[in-house]
Amino acid sequence: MKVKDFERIQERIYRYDHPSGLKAFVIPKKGYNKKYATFATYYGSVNNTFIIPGQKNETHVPDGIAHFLEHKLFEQEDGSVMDKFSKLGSEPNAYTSFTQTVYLFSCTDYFEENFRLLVDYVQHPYLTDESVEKEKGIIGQEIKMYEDNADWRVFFNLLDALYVNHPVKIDIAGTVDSISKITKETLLLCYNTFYHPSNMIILVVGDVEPQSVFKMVENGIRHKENPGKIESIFPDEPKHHNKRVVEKKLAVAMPQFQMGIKDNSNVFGYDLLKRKVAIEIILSMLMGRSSKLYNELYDEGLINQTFGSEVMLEGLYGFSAWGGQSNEPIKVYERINEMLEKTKKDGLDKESFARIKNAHEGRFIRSLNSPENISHSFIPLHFKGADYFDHAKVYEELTFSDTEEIFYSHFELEPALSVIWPVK
Amino acid sequence: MESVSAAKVYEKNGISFFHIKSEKFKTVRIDVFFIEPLNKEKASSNAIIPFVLKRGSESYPDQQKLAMRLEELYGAGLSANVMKKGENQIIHFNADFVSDQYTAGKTKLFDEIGNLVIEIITKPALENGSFNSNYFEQEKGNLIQRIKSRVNDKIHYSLLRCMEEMCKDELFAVYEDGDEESAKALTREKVYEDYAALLRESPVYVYISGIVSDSEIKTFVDKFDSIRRNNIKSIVVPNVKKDIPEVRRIEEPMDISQGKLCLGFRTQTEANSPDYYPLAIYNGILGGGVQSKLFQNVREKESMAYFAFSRLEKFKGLMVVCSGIDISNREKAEKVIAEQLTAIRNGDISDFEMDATKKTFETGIKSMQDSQGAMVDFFLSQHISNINENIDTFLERLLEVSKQDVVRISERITPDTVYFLTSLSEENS
Repeated sequence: MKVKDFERIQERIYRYDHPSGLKAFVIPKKGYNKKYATFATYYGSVNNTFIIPGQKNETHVPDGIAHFLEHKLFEQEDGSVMDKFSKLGSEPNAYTSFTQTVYLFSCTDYFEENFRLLVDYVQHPYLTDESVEKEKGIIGQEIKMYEDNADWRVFFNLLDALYVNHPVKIDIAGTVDSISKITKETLLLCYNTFYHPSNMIILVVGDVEPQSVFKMVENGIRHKENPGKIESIFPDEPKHHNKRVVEKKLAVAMPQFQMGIKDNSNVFGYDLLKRKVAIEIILSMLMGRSSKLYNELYDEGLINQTFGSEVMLEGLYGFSAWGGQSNEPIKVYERINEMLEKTKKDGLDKESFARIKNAHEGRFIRSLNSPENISHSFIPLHFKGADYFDHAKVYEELTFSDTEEIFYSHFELEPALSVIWPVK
Repeated sequence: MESVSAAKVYEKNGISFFHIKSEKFKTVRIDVFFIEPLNKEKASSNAIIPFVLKRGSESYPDQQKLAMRLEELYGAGLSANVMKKGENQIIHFNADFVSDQYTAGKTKLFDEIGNLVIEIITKPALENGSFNSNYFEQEKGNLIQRIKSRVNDKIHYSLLRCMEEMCKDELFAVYEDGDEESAKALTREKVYEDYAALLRESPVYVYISGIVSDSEIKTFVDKFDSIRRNNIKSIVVPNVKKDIPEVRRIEEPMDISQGKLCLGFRTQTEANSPDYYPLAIYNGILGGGVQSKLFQNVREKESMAYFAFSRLEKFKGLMVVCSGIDISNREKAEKVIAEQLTAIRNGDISDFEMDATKKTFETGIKSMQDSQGAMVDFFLSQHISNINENIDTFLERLLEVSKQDVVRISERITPDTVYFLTSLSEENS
């Protein structure tokens, strides 16, 4: 068991490496009632083409299969594992993102029983042809729900504008058509490839005893022969964007837009974290609440409080995106592009850098109150070789000149635009 | 284990101050709530006030200067919003910031931010004795857009519309932001008058959460003395009892691919009634979580939906069941949902359902104490409905509910309105 302290933010991480290759972590939260446990695999919607260890040929699977598998893992011989969690009063859940699938529960009592249940069911798929068919109705409705969701659509349309080939542009749940092709066999194939302990982590956040958690991990993880490297195949992605603008109509009151830019840096580890934090700070400097442009656009009625930005760096792909509601999204697009061109000539505003970096650090510390937030942020960064709590180190070390350098390399391309127009 | 409580530290001029002491958090919060009786004529006016106030104050006359100041204060969050609990409209100001132990001892953040919150509320940037006209007009435009944008989130919208239709002849039907027409008619002068009245006459609840000393709190509380207060209004206790001679059916077509079916019921139960606890358990068994009858049957058994839940509006005594379904499944879904209500009425409640529902509440209530925001919301709800139960006794009341109690409550659940958000054309189904 290893211990790492993060003095500045008064946090600590315990780590245990299981012989199977699985890594387990405990982040203690003294005085918290809630215990939040996750069991995650480094496998998400983008892993749709891969080479099964020991084979030579590529395997391609239907879109939405990682998410489908997430739904189906809840089913066991003796019924849904959700019922067992319910009996213990805990709240089970799971989610699939681009690069990982995460199984979790949140409880206050019976932690050990809940934890054993989680560790056990994720290692134990039970699929039947009948239950796979049945799930298609439920997931079909989930897909339809997202079809009507403008926030979701404007975001995926932006990814379509950014990426020519990369599977990140494909909806995580797939389509009604693609999931119709999913079978018990293809699900098991994906399970056996990606749910090897060496590709997985366990994380518990809460007031728990690390040693006892690790003991349960030690005894609960089944030994499997290490299959060797799992190789996912990604198509070549050109450096440029796919489309300048993607538009769609939906039943919304006011147009919604997202602009974005592809990040071609392909960095991992601490460098990835540093780059992500730097781009977040840059976006605040350029178009955050205290920026000149935000206030101009707001005063002119071109944007409102819904305007915001995010940065997603996933190693082999990445992007930044920003947007909200606007009656004139094309005008906003032009004004932001003008500002970006001008900043490229004049450089970033040094005066605001320290203030905004300080504010971001404060917001990071505030976010550490929430076990959910810690888990959701820790897992994707861990899979890319970075440590979430190293945020504190980045805020300490990041200089203005690092940030300016990252600005020039990230903002090379002209941003792409996605707009949802209201149906009349 | 002793649960967290909200200790009343001061009360003067209709302003109640509470300290929610809990030392495990990295942040301190200040929440200020103005409670106004919901009123069709004044709802939009009240709703615009916090947004105009947030645009600028005497010392920070525009929102850019205010944003810079918040960045200097270690990225403090300052937000304002409007919500509705029962037939009260609540104007909410919130500040959320890191505890002093993370500012390297340089700053007394509570003092600084406490002053800022009071200034934002009481000393707006003025122009000729009223609000700044640009800020006012811009926020009026934003308010109108916000009212129109209710439609964007289809689940939220269908729940709102269902309750609105149910209560169309009652105050509760007034939306928290008011309506488009009255928002358009707002004038700067009238809103400023309403703002002065809000400061003067609304009951106010203030919650301070986190590590703050008694003397810091005292200094903060004393600053509220500058607000002139009189004729303090009372908090509205809505009527929850209603006879429903006939169920109304409302259909609203929209350009969408998934239908949203909402069934609205009257629970005929006041928020502060001892019967609220069996009602909460009833709602949990019916549609609160994965163990519930709706989840188990509409989703798991029939594969008809991704989500199916029921929700209480406890202050007005309403319950709404909601599910996203294929348009063509409407009748079938209604039938399956009705069967679940009948089952509970017939006493068909398994030990598993009863036990899992109670445990889910227990987990929820214990977990709530890990979030300062969730605790503030809980205590505010208790205080405005005059309920004295603290967290522990609230949980005890829930855990002592029997199956018989749930069946007894089920008999008064009265169907009121069936609302269906449907697609534009039949061929979509």
